Amino acid sequence: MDPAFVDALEPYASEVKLATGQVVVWEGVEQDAFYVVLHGRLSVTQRVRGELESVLAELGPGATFGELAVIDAHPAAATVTAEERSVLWRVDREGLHRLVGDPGVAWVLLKALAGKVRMANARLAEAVRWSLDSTEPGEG
Amino acid sequence: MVDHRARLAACPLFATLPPEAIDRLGDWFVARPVTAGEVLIEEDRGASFLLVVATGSLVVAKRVDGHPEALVTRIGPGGHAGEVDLVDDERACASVIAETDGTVLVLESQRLRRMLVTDRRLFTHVARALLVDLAHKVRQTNERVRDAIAWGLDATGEAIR
Repeated sequence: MDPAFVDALEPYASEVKLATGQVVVWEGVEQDAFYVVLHGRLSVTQRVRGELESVLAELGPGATFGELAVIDAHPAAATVTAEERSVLWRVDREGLHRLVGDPGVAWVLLKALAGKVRMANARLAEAVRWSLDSTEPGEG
Repeated sequence: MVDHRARLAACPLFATLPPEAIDRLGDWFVARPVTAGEVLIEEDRGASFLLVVATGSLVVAKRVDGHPEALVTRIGPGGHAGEVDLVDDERACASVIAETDGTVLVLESQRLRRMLVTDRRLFTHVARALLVDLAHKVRQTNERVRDAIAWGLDATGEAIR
């Protein structure tokens, strides 16, 4: 992580410790905080037709999540679960909005979200490819 | 001559900016005429600018392995493209092509970085607008992923767990 970003976050952050299997964000539920992974590993999953779980991403140290719901005030787009014991920084909505007033922090958040758009685009290409392959005659 | 301020004020991306910020923002964009069929951004090539359509229309197209380019969306006056490339200077996510003759307003990534240093207040307004837009794009694309998976499952009658 960018050291200047860490310094800016620290005054607004509280530490959260998670046990393996613990859910920190539930899909569809309103969210009031943004998180930074300090240690550990978490999975990001999304339900398909209410039953199937599609894995969107695995998060390790330095990754951020929860910013979407804080930025646009919509419910969380996915569920985030600790895959092992993990330590996070939690920054609440008010803290994040203050931080965005710092252009350097805003730039880091913009890059993080741009990366998430690219990841989502890559997953979309994979999902379309899989769907097309599934419907090929003689397949699936 | 395109009135930058009026065009940017009509752009939904900048709807939350106060009028004085829109006034200043106009100075950071450059107007550029485009001709029908001109490729403004080529997928997988370097691109680092935001395009706002002043007049005319653009189309966004993306390749999927082994399949011809698919039209992703059409962008008319007030619409924008290139916001991801503007921020991260990576290869372009999709191609952007002029569908008709017209004019686009261009904000180069370098100018946005200069704004961060010389007009921090304006940069913060622009950054907030871009954050909301990018958040919307992540959600929208995740929904399309969900639809694509559901479509594949429906087509095959499979349930993969």
